[in-house]
Parts: sequence; structure tokens; C-alpha cells
Amino acid sequence: MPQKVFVTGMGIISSIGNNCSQNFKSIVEITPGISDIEILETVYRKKFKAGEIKYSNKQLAEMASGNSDNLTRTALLGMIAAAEAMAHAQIKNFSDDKTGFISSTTVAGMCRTELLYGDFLQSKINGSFIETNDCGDSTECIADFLGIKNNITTISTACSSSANAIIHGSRLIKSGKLNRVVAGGTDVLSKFTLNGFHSLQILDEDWCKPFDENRKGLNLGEGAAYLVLESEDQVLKEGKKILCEIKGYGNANDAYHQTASSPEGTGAFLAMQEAIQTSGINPGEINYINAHGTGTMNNDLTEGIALKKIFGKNIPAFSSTKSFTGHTLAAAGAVEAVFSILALTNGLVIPNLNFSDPISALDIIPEKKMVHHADLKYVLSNSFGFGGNCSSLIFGKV
Amino acid sequence: MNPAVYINGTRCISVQDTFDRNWFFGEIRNPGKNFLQVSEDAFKNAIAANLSRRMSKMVRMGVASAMSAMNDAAIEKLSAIIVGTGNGCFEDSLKFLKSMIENEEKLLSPATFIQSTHNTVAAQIALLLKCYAYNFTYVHRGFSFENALQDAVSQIAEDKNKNILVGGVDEIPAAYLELIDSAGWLKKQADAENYFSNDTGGVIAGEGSSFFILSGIKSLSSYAQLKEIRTIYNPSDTGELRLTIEKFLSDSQLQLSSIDTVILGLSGDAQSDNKIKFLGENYFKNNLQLSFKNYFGESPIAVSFALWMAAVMIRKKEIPEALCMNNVRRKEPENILVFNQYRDKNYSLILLSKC
Repeated sequence: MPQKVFVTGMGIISSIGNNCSQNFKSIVEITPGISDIEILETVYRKKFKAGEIKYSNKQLAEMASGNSDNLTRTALLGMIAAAEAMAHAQIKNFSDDKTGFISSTTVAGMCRTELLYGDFLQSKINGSFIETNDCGDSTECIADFLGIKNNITTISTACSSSANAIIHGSRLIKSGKLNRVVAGGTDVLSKFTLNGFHSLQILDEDWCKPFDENRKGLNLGEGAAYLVLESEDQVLKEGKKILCEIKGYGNANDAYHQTASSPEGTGAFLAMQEAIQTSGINPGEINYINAHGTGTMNNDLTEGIALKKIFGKNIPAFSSTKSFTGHTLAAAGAVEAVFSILALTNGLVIPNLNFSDPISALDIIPEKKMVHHADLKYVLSNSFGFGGNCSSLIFGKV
Repeated sequence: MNPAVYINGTRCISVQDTFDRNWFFGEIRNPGKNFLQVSEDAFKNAIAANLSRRMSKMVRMGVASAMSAMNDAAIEKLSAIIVGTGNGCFEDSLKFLKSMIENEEKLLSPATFIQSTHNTVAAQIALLLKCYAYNFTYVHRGFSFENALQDAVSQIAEDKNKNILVGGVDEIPAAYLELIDSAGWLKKQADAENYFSNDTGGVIAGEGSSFFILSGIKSLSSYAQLKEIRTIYNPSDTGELRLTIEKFLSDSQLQLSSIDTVILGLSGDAQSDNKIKFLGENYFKNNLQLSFKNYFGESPIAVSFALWMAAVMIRKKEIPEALCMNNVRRKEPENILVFNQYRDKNYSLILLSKC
């Protein structure tokens, strides 16, 4: 019998709070974290807003109660969120060989490289920042900090990265390879990604408007989030408190274009379809969808088309919480997993901010107001990325 | 216990003539440099010119070896595409970064940004094949390729009929070489010719791409059976490594004496090689030992060249003399153990057997 996979802890840091309870409070009070850029050094400070965490690296290092030497902002955010997840699940020792750590990032150490590379190009000396440039660096810093010794890995599938970390962790537990996995991701604001998305002309200068006819693009964000996943056996053995079950997941490729999604939303459709199939539930049993909903012309239209294909006329309540945090790239899947689980366990449908007019080609309307005391049983969360990587997760109430 | 997993096709692009199916350590290229860059002549016809023009070298190497591995296994449809890369699309990333710095964040072209994400190779393969299947990219330093392999094995455990494309790819553009040189990772040019003979620091950097088709079904094109894979993070000493190897072998139901060949991931960097060297001189002293990084160079996915080598050796029933590091008698290989390290932090074991 495959093992059931339960979530027993979670941790998060985003522009709406340094931990789960602060994030929850900001959601309930509808306090988005998208504001003028103050920490990142860029010529676009006045032009673009972002879901920026208003702490310097030094302050983050103090918060992580670690040593800041050679730690990138990516690693620091990851340390803070992963430590919360670990404490939340009341786990003290992660060093056994049936425990794993799966992290994900796209920016990786670029946040540090971009500050030092200009000087290097002039002098050709002191290129040692290459040691923190790659994706594995933050993962190893976090693993060392948590004391996780075995089964360490890093995934990078653009903006679906941490959803895939959760899928991979769930598969390892389901098959009995591991009993416990900390899975999630971390990404920070960088000039590199800000300029990259700007060059693609998909940044909104104002607050992003997911699923709105007049949407202009996304707001970038930063954050980190991790779930502690444990097997049914492990949970029973330790009499653990369970937050929810990882009920299903799907991973597909859109196979259409490096950055744009297909007009039919094929990848999104296939990922959701597989997630529903592996859950063994009917689409009609899903009560809330935390959509990818970046606010770009392309994503919201094609995600909407895929939603209509799966759910027909009865699309469940849906929203994009990127209107609170901005798009946290590799971390988005895990950040939104935390929000989905907060919604599920607190009976909450989170509103989609800044929405006024439905996309005329779709005529679907996201949830505009906070719904309290909602009877939620299953929540679906979508994460799609460059390279056609599409992933969906389904969380089930226990 | 792992399911039976077979390597049913493979193709390698490296500084050696590995893209040529008939080449097997006959003529060995030794440029005598501290970096070994791949020439694209051998595989330039593998991708249509209109497509390859828009790809970076990294993507071209990945796509050409992936398509060619599929041909080798005579399959057209994939159940999953899983790629490991330590550094991702380094050249395009740094091109975009350089232009951002030089232009002070103004008027940038998105072309290199679009191709800078780490999943570009897996994405381009999916795009060319119109393959909607499971698509994953692992990016953990010296575990990148091993993690991709482990995932492929777990896919086959779910359904043995799957055909999984799994590969490792990394590039060493000039922008990368000048950085690792300044960081002291590269061997000094003067020391580069005597790869292992002296106690010098630094490695000879390499690049390339090896792809494999794995399946739970043995076929006429099967090379070998992939028995077991394990990663070991930051071992404190050789004792810890030895214990892990012993457990690995007992889990695989094999004695050390049944391992006829060990491929060691000696990188040429005296410091990083210490532990493997010690185990080679003691624990593995009665096993035939081979090296490979002196022919392919060091990179996060260098281990994928060792797996390619091992698969071909088992199929050809032949161990090229040039690879041998000790005088243990060569025989027809049945169980080959790859024991790799990357920067003395990421260690791994891969076991391949005759099928």
C-alpha cells in the first residue's frame, strides 16, 4: 500500500509577514505587501512596485540567528522559513537517513553575483562569489543550518519549482523511500529578474490585477516557504498533529514556447487533470483554487481557458494571492501551498485583489471578497513556469 | 528494493569523440589545457540549422545527445524528461547580466534572459518532441545527475513500461572559466599536463552532455542494468564513506569482491581527491580501478560520463587499458561501481551490472 502523505508543519517569510501567523493576519486583514522598492538597489525603484521583504540582509541574518558570513539573501530567507516549519512540526533531529530536504530556487546566488560582477569584469580578480552563485548553495546552507544530512536536492523548473519540490517529496514518501521531507523553495528580488521580466514587458507599474480584463503584468515578489511532509506511519507512530493531506499532484509540460503558454492552456489543463486523477476525487469536490494568476495577459487567459476545460461552468471559488505577495518565482508554489493550507484549515476563501472587470474572452470572475466559515474539503493550487513546466497540487482536509 | 531498470540507449557529447558510436578510447584527445571545451563539429548536423541558431551551446549539446540517445534505443515517445545540471545556462545568464551592468539596466533585449533559466534544456527537448509528459530539472551541484537518475528509477518503480529520458549537461563558457580561475578552482596551466602525478591544487574543467533512455523492460538495445544509486553529502571522513559503501553493497546483495571494476571520480585536485584516493589505496586495493576525469574534465555532471563509459564497457565486454589506474587483471565487466566526488562535498555511488 502506498503511504499517505501528511503535512505536519510549515514555515514562511514573505512581504506580508515573517512567519505563518503574520502571513495569516495580513491575509485576514487584507493587507497586501506590494509597495515601492526600498531594499533592492535598482534604477527602477520609483517605477516598479514589488512584494519586497523590508529587511536588509544583516537584519535577516539576525532573525535567522545564524552567521551572515557568505550567506546570500536566498539562503537567509530559506533558513528562516525552513526553521519555522521544523519547529512547527516539533522535529528536533533531522539527521537520520529517512529524512530529506528538497529545496528550489531560480535566482539562487545571482542576488550576490549581480552586485560583484561589474567589478570583476574590470579587475578579473576576486571571482570567489562563484561559490554562492549556483542553485545548490542556498540548499546546502539551509540543510547545514537545520542539521539535515541525507537526501538533499535542489529543483529548478522556473516558477513551478517549489510546487515540484512538494511533488517530489510526496512521491518519495508515498513510495516508502523516505519518512519525512522538508520541501519548498526560496527566491529573492534581484536586479537580474526585475530587468529580465521588464525586458519581456510583463511587469505592471501599478498593483497587479490578476484575471482582470485590463491587467498589465505581474509584480515581482520575494519569499521562502517550506512544508514538513511525513508518512502516515511516521505520523501515527509519533501521534503527530496533522495540518492536511497531500491528496494529489500533477506535472506536465506545455511543449509550446520557452516563455509563453499555449493558447489552449494544454500544460495547465494536463497538470490539473493529473492532480485530480491522483487524488481520486471529482473536480466538483474542489472548493477553492489558489490560481497561478500572475496578472500577465498570457497566463491569466490560458489558465482561465484550462480552468473552464476542467470545471466547465462550475468553476470553484478561485483567486490569485499574488495580488498580496507579488510573484515569488521559485518560492511561489510553496508560498501558495502555505496559503492554501491556511485557507483549508481556517475555512477561508482568500480574495483576489484589484479585480474589477472579467476577461471578456473568458467571462470568469475570481473571488473578490473574503469568505469566512467556508466549508472547504479540497484546495487546488497551480504553479506554471517558463519552459512550459506546469504543476498542480491538491490539499485535502483531514 | 529498486525495480529492474535497464539502460536501453545512450549518447554522450564530450571533449572526446564520444558522439561517434564507434569511438571507444581509441584515439584520445589530450589538449594539455586546464579546460576541455567541446567542439561542435561532430554533432552540428544533429539539429536543424534554423533551430540550433537560436540555441546556446548548452542547449545544443543537451538536445543533440538526448535525441541521439532516443535513436539509439529506437524509441519515439517518452514518459518523462529529467535533466540534471549544476550550473544551468551559465553563458546566457552572464550575457544578460553583463549587458544589464553595462547598459545600467536600460534597453535590454530579453533573448538571453529567456534562455537563462535552469530548465531550458528539458524545456527545449519537450518543445521539439511535443512531449507533454513529466518534466523535471535537478540543479544540485554534484548531485544534479544522480538526483535525476534516482527520479527516473522511481518513475519506473511506478510503471516498468515507461521510457524515461534522463541526462546531465553543463557548459564551461569563457565567462565561467575566468570566474573559477580567479576563485582558484582551476589547475595552473603548467600543472595541467600531469593530471594525477603531482599533488597540485585545482581541476581541469570539462563540459558536455550524456543522455540515457531508462526502462523497466529489457530490450535488444539494452546496455546494462542500473542497480542502485546513493548520494552522500559532506562526509566527515573516510570511515563514514566506507560504512556507506559497505551498506550500499549489502543493500545491493553484493560482496566487494564481486565488484570487478571501480570508476573513481578523482578530479586532479589533491585536496578534494584525498578521501577517494585513500579508499582506493586501501578499501578498493584489490579491485580494478579506472579514472575518467583526466579524459573528460571536472564538472558537476562529470559522473554522467562515467555512467556512459560503464554502460558501453558492459555492452562491449571490454575495458580500455588507457583508463586503468592499477594492475588488477582486467576481465569482462559484470558489476561496475562508480564512486564519485564533486568538490569533496557531494559524493555518490552508482552500481551498474551486466544484463
